[in-house]
Amino acid sequence: MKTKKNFPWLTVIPFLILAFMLIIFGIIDGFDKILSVSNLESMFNQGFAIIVAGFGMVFATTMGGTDITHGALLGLAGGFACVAGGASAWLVFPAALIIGIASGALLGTLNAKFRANTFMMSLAIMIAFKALNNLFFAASPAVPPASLSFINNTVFKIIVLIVLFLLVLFVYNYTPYGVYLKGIGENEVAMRHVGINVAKIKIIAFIISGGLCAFAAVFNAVRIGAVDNKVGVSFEMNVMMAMFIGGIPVNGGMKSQLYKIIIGAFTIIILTNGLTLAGADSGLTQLIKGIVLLASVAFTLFLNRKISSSHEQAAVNQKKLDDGTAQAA
Amino acid sequence: MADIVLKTEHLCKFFGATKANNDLNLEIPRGAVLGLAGENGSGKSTLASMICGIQKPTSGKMYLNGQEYAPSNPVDANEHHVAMVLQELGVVGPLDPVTNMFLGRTGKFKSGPLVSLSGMKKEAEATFEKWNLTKVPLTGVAGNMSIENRKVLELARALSIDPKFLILDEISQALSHDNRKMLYKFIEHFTSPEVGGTILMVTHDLEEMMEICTHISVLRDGQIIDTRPTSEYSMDELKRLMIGREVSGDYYRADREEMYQQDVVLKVEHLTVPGELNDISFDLHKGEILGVCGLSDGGIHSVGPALFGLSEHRKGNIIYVPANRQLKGPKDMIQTNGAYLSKDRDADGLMLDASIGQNISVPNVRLLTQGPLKFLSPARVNKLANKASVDFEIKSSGLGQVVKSLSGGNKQKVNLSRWLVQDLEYVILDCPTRGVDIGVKAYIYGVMKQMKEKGIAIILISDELPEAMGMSDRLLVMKDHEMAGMLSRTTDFIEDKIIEVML
Repeated sequence: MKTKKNFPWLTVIPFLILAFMLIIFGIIDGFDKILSVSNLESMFNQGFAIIVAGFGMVFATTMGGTDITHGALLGLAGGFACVAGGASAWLVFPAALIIGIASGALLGTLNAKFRANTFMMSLAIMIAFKALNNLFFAASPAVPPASLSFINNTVFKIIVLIVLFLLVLFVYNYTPYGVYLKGIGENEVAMRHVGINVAKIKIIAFIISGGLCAFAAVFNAVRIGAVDNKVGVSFEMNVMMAMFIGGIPVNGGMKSQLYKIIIGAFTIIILTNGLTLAGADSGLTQLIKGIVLLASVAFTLFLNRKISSSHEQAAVNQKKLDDGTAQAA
Repeated sequence: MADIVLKTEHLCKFFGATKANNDLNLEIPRGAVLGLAGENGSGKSTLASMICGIQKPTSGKMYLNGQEYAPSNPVDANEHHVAMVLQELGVVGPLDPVTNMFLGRTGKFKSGPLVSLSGMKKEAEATFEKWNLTKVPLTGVAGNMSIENRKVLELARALSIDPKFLILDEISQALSHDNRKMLYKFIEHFTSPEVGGTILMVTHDLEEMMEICTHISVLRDGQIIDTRPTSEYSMDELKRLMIGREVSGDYYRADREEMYQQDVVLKVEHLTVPGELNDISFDLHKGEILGVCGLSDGGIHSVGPALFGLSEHRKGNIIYVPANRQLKGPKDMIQTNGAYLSKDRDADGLMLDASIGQNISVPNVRLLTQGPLKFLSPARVNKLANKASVDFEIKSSGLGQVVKSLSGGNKQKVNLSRWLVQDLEYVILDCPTRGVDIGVKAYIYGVMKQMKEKGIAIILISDELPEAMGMSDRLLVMKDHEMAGMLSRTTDFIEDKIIEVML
């Protein structure tokens, strides 16, 4: 029997899309413009929050959940962190994390203990948070303490991102927790039969999701300088777009990979940035983003179907293998 | 054999390079019950699905009552009075049973723009009456019916088209003793000269096939190897023909003695799950195989989830005796080196879209971590998965192969290996040989014998009495969710005696 090694299209495609974007906008806007230090820095700073919050959202998605609280949470956690920062700069991160963790714990508990659908529950939480944002920050935007402005430094952020990535990657790929998380995405019932406390894994995943989003919220608040009720609008959509363009399976499972959020985030940042440089208005930018997402998801699904039909072929080969050995024995 | 109902000539069905049916020639006489014997993947279901119009042949012809027969779809087949009860459950859950019976044929009951439910109900009841089928509740939604009742419903659905040729694909597997009896009576009636029906039967249960079928055709590699009246076959010959090699008749245990160590591993006291189990108590010893059998509505399949701790509202004590530890939930059982393999391996056990290696690793990663941070080295995980797949002779193109693409027998090997690669002390196996072919079945029994020798205690829950009798030291017989008896291999293993306790 011959086994044909299939070309790993699903791994390569997100990189190709990223390269394609770079080339397209390089041609349109000029490579010197796109790749100028200041533009690269600006793109990294826009992408930073998406990637950090995205690390969190990947945990929710991997186990088959949905967490769309991120946009509202980015505003709420950032806003309260700034308020707490009024008392002491030391309280900024703890305040943000408390809100993020509480939000995740609530969502996780509702999902794990009461079997509430995560999309609906996170939608409800998102609406509630938006209301709070309007209530507190519409009239008087919260301002982060000036002593914290040192974190709005590209080199510092790069270091933070690398450390964070390694940390999260460790949990995601090199601990039993990561295996169970992906296992729940594949077959939750099977995980129960393996004796795993599925509720605990789920709650922790949502806490990581909320916590990392809150962590990003602080950097976001310091970068923009003031948190009003507009902060984080459609942020969760950008994070989700980054995940799916990056090629993280919509239903989660064992094929989910953390690094893909980075590829996806830079893809949409280049897209947005390139369109802005080319002078496109924000409405057109949204439309093109939508089309790119649609195309990349459709293409991924198409590839998946191709692969599963090659699984059928494998099943067929398997049968032959069985019969062959049965006769030889 | 003058009167041939169905005949196939050079029938072929290819899926890509695979020849599921290859130059298949078959003649089925009127009034026959023809059994199709063959291993998994020998082409039985493909043949059945072509006859009932689900798939179209690649080449070759079929003749029904001497006329060329090429059904374009199942409804077309129904119009030719050919019906089939599928192996997979084909019931639409949210609809009520009666609507399910006439799904796709409700036009007949139209009154104005509406469909007359009472008319459908009347005809449904008439069908049950006419064929003497076990009455199943026809109210509520089909999704809430037991698997067994759904099977009966599907049989009724097939019969409601007034078939002359009926295909039964693995129907009895889901049926209890009583309903099997009903089925056999029905088969006899259906094929009697007054009714004049003919049946094509696909079943893994060779004993059943020898008993029920008038003729048997052996399929191998998509071809009919042999067709004869049943009386001309012996069981061993049949097996040999199916596999193409000699299989010893007794792959069960050879000894006839209740034999195990005195040490108790698990002590179960008054285990009760409301509506499912009532006051079950027993001791499980080192090196013992404790069989659990009974009619399928008797509660045997509730024993596994209850012991493991998945059932809600469980009462009673389960004690792991060596450490005198109460087992309250799945985690306790895993930590005391126990394991539970559910009857439904696809839904409860495996991750079908994940690879063999990933499936094997999931129950084992907790044992492979290093250091306080619980570092999991991919190399160690791989090594273990490799060992499991080599030890259990899993046939695949590698650990990366997706489990969904494996045959039933190999899936079960993955499912077993991922647990048995650990140093287990006890294991609960619910129908471990369900839907696997003879080769793998014999293999699994071999593994169980080895485990017994090593002193591992096994609870073997089984739908098949010969299997339970063949392997167990003691047999816990259940009836109406209660213990009806505890029988010893040494003295009590006589089929009639066990069935008496069951009923």
